[in-house]
Parts: sequence; structure tokens; C-alpha cells
Amino acid sequence: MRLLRQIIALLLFLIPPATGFAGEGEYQVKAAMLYNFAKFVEWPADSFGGDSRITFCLVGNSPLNGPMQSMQGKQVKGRTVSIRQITSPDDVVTCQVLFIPQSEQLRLPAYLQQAKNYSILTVSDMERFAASGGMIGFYEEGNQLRFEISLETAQKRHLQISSHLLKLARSVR
Amino acid sequence: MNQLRRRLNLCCAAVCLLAVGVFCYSAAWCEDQPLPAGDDLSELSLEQLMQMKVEKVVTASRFSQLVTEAPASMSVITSDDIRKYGYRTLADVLRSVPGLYVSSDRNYSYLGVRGFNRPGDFNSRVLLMVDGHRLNDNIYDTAAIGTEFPLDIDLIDHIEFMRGPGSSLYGSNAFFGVLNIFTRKSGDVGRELSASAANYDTWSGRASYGTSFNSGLDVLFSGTIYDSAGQRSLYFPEFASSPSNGNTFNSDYDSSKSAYARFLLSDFTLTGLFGSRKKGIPTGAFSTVFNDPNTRTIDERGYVDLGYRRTFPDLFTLSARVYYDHYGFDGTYVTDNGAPPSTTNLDTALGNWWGADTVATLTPLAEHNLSLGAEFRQNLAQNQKNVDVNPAAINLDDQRRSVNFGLFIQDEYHILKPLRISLGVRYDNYNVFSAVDPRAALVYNPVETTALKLLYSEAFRAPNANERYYQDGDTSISNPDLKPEKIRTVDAIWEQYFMENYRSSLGGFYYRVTDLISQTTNNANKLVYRNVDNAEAVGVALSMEGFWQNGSKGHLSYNWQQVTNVSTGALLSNSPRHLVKANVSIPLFRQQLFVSPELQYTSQRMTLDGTKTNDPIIVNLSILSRDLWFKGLEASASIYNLFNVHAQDVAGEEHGQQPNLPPLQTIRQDGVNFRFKLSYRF
Repeated sequence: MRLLRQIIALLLFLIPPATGFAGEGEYQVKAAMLYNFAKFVEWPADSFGGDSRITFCLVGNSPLNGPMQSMQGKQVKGRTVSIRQITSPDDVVTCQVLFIPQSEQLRLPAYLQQAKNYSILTVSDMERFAASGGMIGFYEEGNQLRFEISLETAQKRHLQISSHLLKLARSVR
Repeated sequence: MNQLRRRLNLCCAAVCLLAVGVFCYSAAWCEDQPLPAGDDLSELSLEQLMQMKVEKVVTASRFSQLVTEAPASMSVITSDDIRKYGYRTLADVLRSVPGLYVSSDRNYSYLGVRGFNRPGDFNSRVLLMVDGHRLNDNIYDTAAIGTEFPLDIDLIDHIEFMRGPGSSLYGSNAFFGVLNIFTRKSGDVGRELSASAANYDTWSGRASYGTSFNSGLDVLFSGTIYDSAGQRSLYFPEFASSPSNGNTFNSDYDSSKSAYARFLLSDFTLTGLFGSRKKGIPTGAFSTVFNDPNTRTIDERGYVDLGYRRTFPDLFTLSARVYYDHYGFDGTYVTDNGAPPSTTNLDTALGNWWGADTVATLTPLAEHNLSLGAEFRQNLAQNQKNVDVNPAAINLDDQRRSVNFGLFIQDEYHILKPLRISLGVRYDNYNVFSAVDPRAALVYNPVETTALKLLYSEAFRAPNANERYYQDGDTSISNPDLKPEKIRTVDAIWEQYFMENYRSSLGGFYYRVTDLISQTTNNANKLVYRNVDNAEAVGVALSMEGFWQNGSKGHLSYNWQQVTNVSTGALLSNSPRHLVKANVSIPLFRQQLFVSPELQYTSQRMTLDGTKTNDPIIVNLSILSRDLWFKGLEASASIYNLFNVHAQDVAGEEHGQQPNLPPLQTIRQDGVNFRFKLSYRF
């Protein structure tokens, strides 16, 4: 038992302090990619509700919010980009694109559940997002950003993803 | 004990120094390289953005979504875990899973779930699948988890283990759990070469190639060879009076080769898998001549599987597959019949089968997620043969064919916002008997950080061809009238997330097994399988997982269980009361160097004659480097059983059949050993 205690003490010692560290460049590149995704997706005609804008919703507070703000006012297929920060799953009704950051992992089921009622492109950088009910998931290979797409999930919500985007992505069934 | 403590202190000092040293180093390297402000990346194309270099990304929390939503107690192990902890086989992985334990008799590895792992059982009470394809064979229903598993562990993307009965979806063998192995995507593999070297003259090599073409065709090919001399000399004190004084030489060898191929085009996937393993038996099992290295078993397993999957929006998702499977067993047993110095007994089995299954999932009404499935299987050959070489004699030549099918339906009903109920039932038909297995699960999320699950499920295990038809005309007799075993389980689980970083889980279970198939002796003193026993068990499981900002992760678990034979009230053999697992993985240098220790404690288990084994604490330590020396290279060094503990595993009936020697009650496991591995992706 003494031995067991010593070993557990050893293991506890090795628990490191929480140190945050994320490259700034990473979120600027992600924001640009997210903006570009919208160019290759077709929403059903009635998704915009008469609005001439295309709304990107960002859940909570994440490092992506800053870089995404600079996309405000840009154009995507004739529509003006609008950036919104939302804090509740009920707010997704106004969104065409929904980005859920890693920090919102616990609330993911709630957001995906609400998003199922509308044609919303769901994107995240959580691990295995595309295999867990999401549509586009970021991942990294070496020092470069990549993404994987679950076409099935997108099709269920009547979203058309262009073959150009599919070719660049790793597909998830 | 002193030696042990000294080693532990040395280890402590070494790791502390290493940790301090590298923390200092990493501080100097933590420099952000932000892109110059004002650069408008949005004007770049996706192709250009994908070419940019970004600082290493660290995912803050990685709780698998699968686990929280599953109406069951589930564990997920990823390829990241496999690489960091240096797991060599599925058995190594399963040893780290809360509530599981593995025993080995230097021939096969046997999985214990919820305290159940009777010596001589072939893992037929756990369903093993690869990408949804059933791997249990049609002779012994074995779930191969050791070196006889026909897929290289490097090709695994993640492993899902679901505790408890799963027959309501999967049919037979999903008795104590379902183990599903998912393979990596071809794009994830790319071009990979891997080699490893370890103690006991062990080495292995793998070459894999995965790619996609413009036409949309996606392929993956891989081949692996493995060879180990095993322990060149083993000592069994029980066999001290044998001609070799209890020593056996060069009989622990283990070698295997396997190949994997997959083609993916549009909605179709064609998979082919084949593996063959040869293992020497050093234990004198089945009354073979002790210290004769010619006694060995060869297991080969292969299949071809064509799958289809498509979603019809607003209608349903349909998946279907058709497959052809092969299993071969070749056992050479050098026995001593009193005739010439030794005679050889050849025990072989051949299984060939084909089948088809289909599942449709649909949402006919909002809040309902309905699944319907059908499965059909025809066993073209279930052959068992046993012959003596000299003097020649055919003891058994049994050939069978059979058919079975199953139908299931399951509905997941989201009744209220925080409440989900799942109900399912499956019907299976095996000609001579049929089985009906229901399942009900209630999942309640009062707040999003809490999940309460209440489950009831039933499962069956059909008697396999070996139990029904095997007889050698001498010591054993067959019993074609065997009925299936049945289990009923109740589970209650509470999962709680707190502080963003931690997830804890507390669960309790009760199960009752009836018509348990056991080997007994009849009036004529012959061995025969019969549905004689009933077993009952209670257990409690407690676990905690954590993920930290810098990429560290770990888990700690404690399991208590008690399994008794209902008629005698006695505890079952090879069933530990307590299990403890502790794992932690820490990045020492950015995300390029990791140290991952793990600890496993298994309490005493009872052997067949009622004595007890020891209760070992096994500590493993693995160091992994990724892209550290140059890009694409992963190098690892692992030490297993760091403190050289002599763990004892329970031996089976077959280890007590030596004519002039006392039976083996326990089999000693390997002492401290190591492995170096290199993997290069280019």
C-alpha cells in the first residue's frame, strides 16, 4: 500500500499547471478559411428569410471572435457578411454559419440539437467534430490547418457543398 | 521491497529532473509567431490558406462526444493514446481500461469484464468488431485480443468499448460488452513505414500506403510482420521433477503476419483483411510433452467485406454489407502416449461463412430516432478434426453447416428536453433455438454538465461449434443439445463534468447469468459441456478523467465487483475484487515530446484449486517524440512492468493435465521489458 501511495504521489507531481498557449496566426487563418467555406456552400432559398445578409454566428468567447470581426461587411455570393456572437442555443435561428469553439464542448449537444431545425453550416475546431454530428471540423497536420467534412450531415440539412470544397477536405462518413 | 523502493526513488528523481529541465527549455521556445497585423488573409484562396504554417494547435478538452450521449457505459481509446502509452496489442490497450483485466497463458489473452473471466473460456462473451464487421469466428467464437488479432494496432483510429449486454443490436456474443475497432482514414495514413525492436528478440515492421485519387477513389494498403523468440528459457517450479528440471527452452515463440486493403468509392467500401499467427506453447498444456518446442498453435483469420452507406435526405440513412469470412486453426500437440518417445496430435478447425446485414435509421416523427436491422449468416463450414500422427488414428472428423438470422428494432425517443428513452429488441434464430433480447435505457440531463443513466438489458450467447460438437473419442464427449446462455443486467450511472477540465463517473451494476455453459464430467468420467451454472454479480465503478490546457491528459479509476456461483455461493475463479487504473500523459516540450506513465493494480484472484494469486501493481512508462528530430518521424521508447513485478495469472484446466507432474495453478507473466519503435510518414 505504501508503494501504491508513493506511485500516486509521483503521478500527481507530474500534473502540470494549466498554461495556455495558442498561436495567434492560427485563428487569423481559421477565420479566413471559415469566411471562404461559405463561398462553396449553397443554402436552400428560404434560409435567409428575406434578409440580404449572410450571418456567421460565433458561440461564446473564443480567440476566433477578434479575427472574424474583420470579415464584417465583406461579400459572399452577393450577400453582406454579418458577424454575431451568441450565447444561447435558441439564438441559432438567425444563423447561416455556426462556429462552435473547443471551449463550448459541454454545450455542443444543445447547439447541434437546435441547429438541426434549420439549414445551418456547423463548423468547429473540436476534435472529431465531423464524426460527432458536425459538418466541418478543423484539424491540423504538421503545422498546417486542414478540415474534414461530413457530407452526410450537411445533406441532411439540405446544404449543398461544392465539389471544390470537398476535394480539399478529408471526408468523414 | 527495499530494492523496489530504491528503484522507485531513482525513477522519481529521474523524471523530476527531466520534467524541470524541459519545462525550462520549453519556456524559451514558447514564442508566438503572429502574422503581421493588417494582412488581409480573406483575399487568399483556401488552397493558399492551407499552405500557411501556424503555431501548434492544442485542443483544450477532448471528452469524446460519443461517451456522453451513449445510453451505456462506454470507454474510448484513441490512436493518440495508443502511441503515447506504447500499447503493443489490443490486450495492452484493454489492460488500461477501467474495470477490465486480461490474463494470459502464454498462448492466448483472455479478457475479463465485470469480474467474469473463467479460465479456458475463449473470450466468447465479448463481441469484437472491426468497422462493424464481426470478428468472433464460427468455431470457438473467440475475440482475438493478443498478437493473434489480425489488424496492426497502428491502423486503428479509435476503439470503443461498450460495457454491458449488446444483444439487442448485435445478437450473440455481445454478453458482457462490445468492442468496436475503427480503422484510420487513408488520408490520415499517407505513406508510412514503421519498425520496432524489443526484448526477447522481438522485432516488427510495417509498410502502409493510403491515398485518394481525383476520381474519388480512396485506397489504403498495409502489411505487417512480427517475430518474437519469447522467453528463451522459462522455469516452472511445479515441473521441477521433469527431465529438464522444470525448464523449457525456445518454446515461447510468437510470430505473425497480416495484411489490410481497403477501397472506397462513392457510397461503397470494399475491405480485405488477413492475419496469421503462430505461437509456441511452453506450459505443457493439454498433456503435451513438457519442453518440446514443437507444440504450437496457428490461428488465421481473414475476410472480404463490401459495404454500402447512403443518406437519403428527409427519408432515411441506409447501410448494408455482404461479406465472406474465413477462420483456420492448426494445433500441433506433441503428446506422450506411451508409444514411441512422443507422438503428435493434430487438432485443426476450419470455418468459412458468408453473410449480409442491413440497417436503416430514420426519423419518422420528430423526437424519434428509429433503427431497423436485419442480419443473415450461412456457415458453409464448421469443421473440427483431431488426428494422431503415429500411430495414425482419426479421433474426430466433424463437419457442419448452419444458418442463422436476426432482426432488430430500436427507438430513441427524446421525450422532454432533458430526457431521452431508448427501447430496443432483437430476435435471433439459430434453427434449434431462438432468442429474444430487449433493452431499455433512460438518459436524463437535468443540467448540461450532468448525465444520469438507468439501463436494463438482456443478452444471449449461442453455444459454439466447439462446445456442441467437439469430442476426441477418449476423454471428451460432445453435447449437441446445448442451450444458449442468458444474461440480464441492470446499470445505474452518474456522469458529472466540472471545472471545464474534468469528467467523473460513478456507476453500479447487477447481473445474473443463467444456463452458463461449463465443462463437467459425466457418469462415464468423460468431459462434457452442459448448461449447469448460474452466476450473479454486483459491482461499483468510479472514474475520473482530466484534460489540461497544455495537452496533458489522464484518468484514474477504481472498480469493485463480486461474482458468485448461485448454487454454491462461492466466488468465481479468476475474478478480482478490486481493480485500479491510473494513466497520465504529459507534453514535455511543445507538442513534440510526451512522457506517459500508467499503473494497473489487480487484486488477488482464485485459482482452480481454490488458492490465490498475488496482487501485482504493474507500472509502464512510455516516451514519445513527434516531429522532434525531423518532420514525419515518431520515435518511442517504452518500459513495461518497470518494477519487474512477477505477476501471476490464473491457469486453466488444460494446464493441469500432465500425467506425472502436479498441475499449474498460476502462470507467471513477463518481468520488466522494453520496446523501441520508429514510425516515419513521408
